[in-house]
Amino acid sequence: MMSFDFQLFQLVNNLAGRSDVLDGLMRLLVNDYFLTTTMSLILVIFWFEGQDQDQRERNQEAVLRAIIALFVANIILKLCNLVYFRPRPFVDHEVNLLFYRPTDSSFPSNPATVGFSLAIALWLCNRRLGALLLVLATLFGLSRIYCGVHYPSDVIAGALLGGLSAYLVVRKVGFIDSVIGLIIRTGRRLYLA
Amino acid sequence: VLNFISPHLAINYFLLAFLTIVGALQFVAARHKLVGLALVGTAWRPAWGCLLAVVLIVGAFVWFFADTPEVFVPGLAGSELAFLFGAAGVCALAFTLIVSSVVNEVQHRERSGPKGDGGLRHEAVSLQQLRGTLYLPEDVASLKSEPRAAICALPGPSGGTISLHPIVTDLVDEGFIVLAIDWGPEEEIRYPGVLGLLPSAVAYLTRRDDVNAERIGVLGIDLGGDLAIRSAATDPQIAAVLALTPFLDQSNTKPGLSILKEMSYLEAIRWSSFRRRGGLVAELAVPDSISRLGFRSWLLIYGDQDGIVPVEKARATLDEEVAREKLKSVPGEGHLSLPRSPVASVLVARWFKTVFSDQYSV
Repeated sequence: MMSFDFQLFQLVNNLAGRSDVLDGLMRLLVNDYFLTTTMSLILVIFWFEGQDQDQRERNQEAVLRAIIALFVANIILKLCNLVYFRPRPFVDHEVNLLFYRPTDSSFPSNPATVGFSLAIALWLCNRRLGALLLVLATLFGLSRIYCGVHYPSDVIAGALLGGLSAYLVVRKVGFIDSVIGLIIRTGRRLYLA
Repeated sequence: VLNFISPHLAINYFLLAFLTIVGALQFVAARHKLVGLALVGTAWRPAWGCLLAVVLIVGAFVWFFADTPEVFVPGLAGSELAFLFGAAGVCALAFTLIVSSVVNEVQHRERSGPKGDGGLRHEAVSLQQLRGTLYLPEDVASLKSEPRAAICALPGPSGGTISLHPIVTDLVDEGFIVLAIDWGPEEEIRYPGVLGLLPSAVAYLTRRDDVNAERIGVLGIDLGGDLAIRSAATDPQIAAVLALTPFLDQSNTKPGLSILKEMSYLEAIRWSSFRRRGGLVAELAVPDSISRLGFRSWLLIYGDQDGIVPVEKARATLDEEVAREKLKSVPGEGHLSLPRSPVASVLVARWFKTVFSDQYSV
């Protein structure tokens, strides 16, 4: 299994260094600022979207659920990191490294967890926008493998963790409805929702 | 505990988030015509707003990656990023709302010319509860033997009688005598005291020799529309009622974000300072009053871009058949712009003329 994981890693990571354009694009995607900020901006815009108040309220609920899903996913991620540490690919292998050397655990992938928790939470409420975020989250995960800082299994685990957190927050956890309702009502009183 | 590691990186990321969020808000403002979020004011075009959004977002990213070498070394962790993005979001929203309010205020002042009665013949009316201005057609004095139809016009509580001016002008041009009523100070607008406002105006008009007491209509705007309908339901002397953008239902007095389609954030705060609006709408119980109008002619008019009482919500308050017949919408107009719209003014004047046509002679 580990061997297959590494073979898959090599398949992607060996593409690095062959094209300056592709390397440049991956460097843009792999850092902690570009895609996270872009995804957050999409949430900001989605908060104000909607032709009428009912539609806007559904969108705002989706945004709040996505933020809560991200929070829950991060807590679970920190717990995982406490009990399991996996060295980064560049520690044990010769890799094409296009990024700095992170020192935290490789498993599960933090960016994949963040990206997929937001994307799946939104996808469960709005398919089109959710699909866009899923593409961005997938690119985020792929870029981490391409640049040599994550194994594919790290990204898959992060995606599952983010997706599971989103599913739980959107579909299973009813008690947050009142909190979400309170936030939206307060926002409406302030003419911001 | 937050650890920002590099102050330069933290400041740059804060600025990136700030600028891109301002850009995102401009995109939203352009897309949904939210003048209260638009930095380029009410005279803006959506294309300008979108262009500004693209410039801010793309420009901020280009600047950030060009000026921040720390992007490719260990830097901010997720919690620091979330904190900075959140703080930048609050600042960007506050900045947008404040600047937009200032821009709107300046443009509003530039647009509003000298306030006056536009050369209409008028006289002030002040009788106990009733205060207002009576507008008379030029030829009234020469036709004293033939009393005219008259309209009591009531603006929204914060609009002032000046907001009635375009409609009053068209009504007077059509030969109506118009009494524009002043609500008085906002703190004195209370239920059931307000119920006396229109009946006292109607009583004043019926005492005049130049008014035909059987041909008195009422016109109300905003909350004035709700009061006009309620008064018409109980005062048999009112022969016709026309309401522009009445609230109809208490829930419509809480428009939320949509109010920024109509006004700046500062104006929205001022608008909300009249706290009795919702209570008054509930007390006036307009849908019940509509069912008690009986034989009286009545009409509701909304702008199809109304950001406070969406025309669809107003339509849903009425029976389908009644709404089809009695509710008109004027394309391209909002809650505040409708009374100033030439289309609405002509519609109002023509409607009253048609209603009184069998009795009315010019």
